[in-house]
Amino acid sequence: MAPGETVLVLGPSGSGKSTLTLCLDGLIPHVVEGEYTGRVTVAGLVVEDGPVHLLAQEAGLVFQDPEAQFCTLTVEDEIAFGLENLCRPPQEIEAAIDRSLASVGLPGYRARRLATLSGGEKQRVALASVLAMGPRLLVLDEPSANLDPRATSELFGLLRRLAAGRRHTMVIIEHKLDELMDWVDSVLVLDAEGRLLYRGDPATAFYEWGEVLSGAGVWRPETVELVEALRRAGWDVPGSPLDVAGTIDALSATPGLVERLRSSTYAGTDTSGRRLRRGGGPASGRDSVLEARGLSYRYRGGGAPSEALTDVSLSVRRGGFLAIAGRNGAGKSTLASLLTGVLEPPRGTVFLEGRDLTEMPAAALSERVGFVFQNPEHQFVTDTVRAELAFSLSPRAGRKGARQLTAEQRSRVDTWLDRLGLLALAEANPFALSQGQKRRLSVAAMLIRGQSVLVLDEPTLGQDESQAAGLMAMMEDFRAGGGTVVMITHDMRLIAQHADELLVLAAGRSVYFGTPADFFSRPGLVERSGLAVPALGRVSVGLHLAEGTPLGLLSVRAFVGDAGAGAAVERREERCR
Amino acid sequence: MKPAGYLDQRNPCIKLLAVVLAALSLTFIFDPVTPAVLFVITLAAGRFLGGLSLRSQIKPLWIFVIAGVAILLANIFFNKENATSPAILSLGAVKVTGPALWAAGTLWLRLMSFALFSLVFVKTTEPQHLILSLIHQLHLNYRVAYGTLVGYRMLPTLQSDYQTIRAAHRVRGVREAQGLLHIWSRFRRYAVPLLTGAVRRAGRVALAMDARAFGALPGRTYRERIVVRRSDWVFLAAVVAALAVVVAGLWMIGITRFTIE
Repeated sequence: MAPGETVLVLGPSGSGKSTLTLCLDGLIPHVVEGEYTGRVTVAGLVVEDGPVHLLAQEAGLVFQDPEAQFCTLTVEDEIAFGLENLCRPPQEIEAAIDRSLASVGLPGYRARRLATLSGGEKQRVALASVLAMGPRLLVLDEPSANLDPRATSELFGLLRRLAAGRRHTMVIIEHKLDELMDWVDSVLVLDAEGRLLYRGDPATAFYEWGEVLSGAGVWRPETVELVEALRRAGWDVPGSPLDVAGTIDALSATPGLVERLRSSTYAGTDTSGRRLRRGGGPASGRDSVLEARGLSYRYRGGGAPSEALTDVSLSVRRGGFLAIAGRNGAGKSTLASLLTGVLEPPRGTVFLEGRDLTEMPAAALSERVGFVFQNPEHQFVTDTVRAELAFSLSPRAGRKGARQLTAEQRSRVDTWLDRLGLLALAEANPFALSQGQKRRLSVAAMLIRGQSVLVLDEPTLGQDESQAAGLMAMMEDFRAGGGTVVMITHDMRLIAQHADELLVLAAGRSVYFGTPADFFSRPGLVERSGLAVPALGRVSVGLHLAEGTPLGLLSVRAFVGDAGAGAAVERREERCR
Repeated sequence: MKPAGYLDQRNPCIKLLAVVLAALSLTFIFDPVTPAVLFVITLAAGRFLGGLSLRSQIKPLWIFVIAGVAILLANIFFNKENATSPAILSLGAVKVTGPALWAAGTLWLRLMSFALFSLVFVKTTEPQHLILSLIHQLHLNYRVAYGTLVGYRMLPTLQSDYQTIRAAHRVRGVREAQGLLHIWSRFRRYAVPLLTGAVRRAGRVALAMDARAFGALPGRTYRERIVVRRSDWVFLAAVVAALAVVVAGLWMIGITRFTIE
């Protein structure tokens, strides 16, 4: 890597991305034991020979979870920590604290306690505490994974400025590619076995190696997926655009495309690719499965006097997909807990299939509503994968073994094991599974009883492309069978692609309830609620402003649906005739 | 956050020494009045020198009030003086004797005082300062000291994890067995996911610390040095003097006793 270069590292989970970051910092081989061959040189220091304290000055690491990298209680102590370890004199440390806080845009945060900071602020303090040591190499391991969309774009804005300064060489691991595309210099791709698959410029990676990358379970920018899909439909999109601005230019320059979009059959406001339900608007009383009316909630005790939720109403129809979005701390998890009866809602506010939740016995409730927690491990209650599924059907069988199950139940467990691809691991401990397998098992343990509503709390967190796709496929299957999905997520792309209703919370209040397409075509509201328009939404807006095409094209499907077959395909069809 | 009071500004190790001295002297005293007087003095010190409201000092002690009832019952039934002493109060076959009340009161007030000393200490001491003071004054190995601090940081996370895991298990249909007999099965059920999470997090923090050169050099500097000032010695002397005055004074008017008889 050249000095000042910014390199994006991609690979499916388990491909060794994090291992690579540890090698760059000398933690491997100096701290983490293992078999080590080859040679890493950072800023002229051979890592396996270099003393750790010199390496720590040259290479700074920022991890995924800010909480798991702090070791003190206040901002200033945290930033001082590394410099103290390097035996720097106190005056120099004081100056470095102010300097690095200013460089991450947090002046005046010196004396703040870390526990009182938001996730975004914590991550910036983590960055400041690394920058204070003056590293020439910055290594960031999914720094935005735990952040909400606003905090993510603030962090990326900061990193973009650092990258532009060219004083730091940056290695960044990220899933949220669309935000990175305009400032990453090159891409490095690892395959599932941890071998180097590709190293070079991003355009070549995503356009010429696209199939290989998708095959390896690597996320691709949505803009690239759009261009490729349009090309497959016969449109002659020029160049290989990566960022939003480049994609708008390329689509404008595509012969005939803009005209076609302008004259599209469902131009106007109703332009989500997934056509609006006839009658439009949220599901009303009769066909709704799950409903909340004027729901307010306040936690008892704990000294927090403010309401966690204030006057929230929503309804989801059978087979629907409701996404719940909002900043961290907006009340999303509280709402999910109330909808599932984990917390008891006030009488007369939450209704399942028309019945007040507070009047339903716990068993009846858990037969109808499943709740998938953020961390799958928290939900495991037995010692084997098979018992985990058996437990859902009969707690007795979960404890005493599958012999307690009826033949029908046993075959249901086997069917699910097969569907999850876990037949070979049926006797393994759930904790020993991969992240993706754990996630799917935790969902399956909820679905196997035939619940009609499934509520999920950020289920795609930390999942790679193919794992997330596997989960969403399960959701689509479930909905096809009449199941209803309620999902908390920070992933705007997922909302645009899958959800048909969106509830946005801000400070415990509902600020929007309706279709995602409508929400994302109101940039002011998106901004105020601390969310972000997904890349294709921004392409859609840009194209609308420049060329007058309709707004609200949020997904590849929507674009391709509106554009129809391109000139090239039509020519081919003519020839056939 | 409350403003830093006189007690907050004292050196943590000196303050700890004061607490230990006070607690130690109580272990040689066998009457209920002396600990009660020290309790009240500490309460006042917490209020006026530490800026702690009386409510915030008393409320956390409720568990020791319950312990007091247990101590009282144990003495009513099992105190060996009961057989020889006259009953002050008789409830059927149960007679409540003077020595039983005396012993129970002594033990209970001693316990309450210990608890209050510790409470005031904890509430007026910044954990980071205690750690630094242990390193600077008691020359505790800084690796051990920072390890302790990181462990302390993790406690709230563990607590919230525990809540989440319980909720997650309830959703799975686990019916939590109540009662003492099932403590073990509950422990086993929650220990695995809790410990898995904690071990993983601890590993990550350790890596993050190593990445910032923790322990790479034999020594390290400190942005902030915790020192023992003359005012800290004055504080310690004042505590010792107060202890001496109270104990000696009460002994002279025949209240403080140094033996059980």
